[in-house]
Amino acid sequence: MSAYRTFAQLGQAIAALAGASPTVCETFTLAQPSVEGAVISGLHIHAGDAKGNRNGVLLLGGVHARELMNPEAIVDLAADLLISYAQGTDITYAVPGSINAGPGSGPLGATWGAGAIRMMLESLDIWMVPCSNPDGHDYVLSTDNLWRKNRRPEKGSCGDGTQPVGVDLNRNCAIVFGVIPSYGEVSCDPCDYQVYCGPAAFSEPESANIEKFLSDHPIDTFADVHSYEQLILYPWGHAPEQTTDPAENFTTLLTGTCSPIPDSSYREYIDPVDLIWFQFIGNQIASDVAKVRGSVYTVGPSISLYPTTGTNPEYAYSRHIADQGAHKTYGWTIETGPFTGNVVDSFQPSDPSDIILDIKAAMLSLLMQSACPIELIGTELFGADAEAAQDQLTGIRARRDRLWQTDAGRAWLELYRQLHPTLLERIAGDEGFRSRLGELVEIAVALADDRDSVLSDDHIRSGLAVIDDLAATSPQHLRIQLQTARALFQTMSGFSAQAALAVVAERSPR
Amino acid sequence: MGTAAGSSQSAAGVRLEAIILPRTSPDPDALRGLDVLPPLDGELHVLISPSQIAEVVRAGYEVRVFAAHPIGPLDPDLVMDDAAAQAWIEERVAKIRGGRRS
Repeated sequence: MSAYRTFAQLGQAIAALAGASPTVCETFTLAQPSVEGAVISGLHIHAGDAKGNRNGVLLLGGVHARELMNPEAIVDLAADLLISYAQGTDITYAVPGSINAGPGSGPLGATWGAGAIRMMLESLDIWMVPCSNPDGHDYVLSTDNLWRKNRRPEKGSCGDGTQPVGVDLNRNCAIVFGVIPSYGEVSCDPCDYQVYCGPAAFSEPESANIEKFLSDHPIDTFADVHSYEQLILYPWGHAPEQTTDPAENFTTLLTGTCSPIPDSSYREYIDPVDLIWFQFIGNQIASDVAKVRGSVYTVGPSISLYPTTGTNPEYAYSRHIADQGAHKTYGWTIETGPFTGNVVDSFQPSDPSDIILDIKAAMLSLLMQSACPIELIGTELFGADAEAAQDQLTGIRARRDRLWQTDAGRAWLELYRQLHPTLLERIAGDEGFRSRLGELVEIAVALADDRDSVLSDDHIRSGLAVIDDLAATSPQHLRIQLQTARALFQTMSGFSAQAALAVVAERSPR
Repeated sequence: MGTAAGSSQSAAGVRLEAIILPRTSPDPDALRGLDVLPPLDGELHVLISPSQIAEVVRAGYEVRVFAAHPIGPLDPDLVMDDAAAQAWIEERVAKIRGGRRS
């Protein structure tokens, strides 16, 4: 099976997809060419007419040259999304004969409805860079199938007389750069075969491109796709996390030391709300991947794979901490797999098609989680009034952040996340439902804006109608929680927005 | 001028896939420069050259080799040719253009 494209062929594929979908997407190029001069292009998908306030998602592949499945998966996913959008068809990733290991007892495979995909594409800015290390990619195809780094020639020579070549692009970012958490995973030695971090943070054009891109675009979700461990990883990679002392954070650490963090008891701070969010979304992704063919992906911090510094996803997430004016980006590593007995077959299986289904399901799940149906409705309501839309968005996110603070609140948000695909599907396909949901969002915004306003009986009836409507089309395991939501909402006549939020923060739907 | 890796792995002609276990008073300095892979059953999993094996063993480790990989390009049968790449494009583009929205 001819499974893997050259860098040029990957570029031709995304150019052709863009040419066939000119109103939905276009190609773009990253700021700098590679060390050997290759122009690095990607695909920007942004269907529909809505302007501004879209959540941004960046999917990155091919950082490590030998991990050949991931550029293929990203290009494949782009094609699947564009075909679904053009034809109005569902996307199903399934392998006949596999056991459904996902929750519930639905049909085999992971399916996303055409309407949900359309709404997702019309509410997100999706940026895909299938292959960010073109020189390394083609070197794998032409010369050394286990090459990992870029192709930067370094000065000097190594012990065996060869010239040192290459920097690990996933060790070259400005997050605890040049600190060596343990042997083998990061190195300051240019002769290191695989994990040389480079002479300085962002010394390499291929990694500097990511820094520049994140500076220029408000990216909410970033996923760097690697192989091969069947993991969904979130920050941090350089130290175990702690959630109690914000002052113990990476900005206090020396960089470029080429030695470990001096204090072996050091723990990196992560906002507890972010940690729960990472864990919840990670579990949702793992659940969706399991539906495809039963693959078990484990969710955890990056350090659970092995300690690292200077990686892309952690740099992305660190930006808003290092610079409070920077946009907050949730950074993920998706490690696809599995290990199949030896390293060559694991990085470059002769038939990667089943694994690519898993990878695509993981990325599509993350995309679906990144599209907020209520934000989408809110954006529609406020139309071209960008300031009002931004206020509304800020309000929604503030209330969401408050709910994250309690167990019951998090349970509600979890229910809402699980309902994303159903909500998006209904918004896309049912004008009446879309209108009723829009009214509810309007009511919520009006109540939030006026502390003296309270929920009326009419408001309650409108809300119950939407809940009943939603329950009728939701998966069975979510209906019980929706019944709880119904019972709770029924009691809220006369409540202010603040009072309603307080009740929801204390009463779980479970 | 050498063309590649800057380590003896590139010059040896073969990479050995192995797990490494500590034996007697191991010196972790000897592990520098190895191609460390995700752990295998909790053990240190590496690609290593024959000459590196000798150094690592001398430094107090046991090396269990279980696969050998000749250094060379990807199996040419796995590289998509231009005709296949073009066929992939044409199939997808036809589906997009045949749809309602594009």
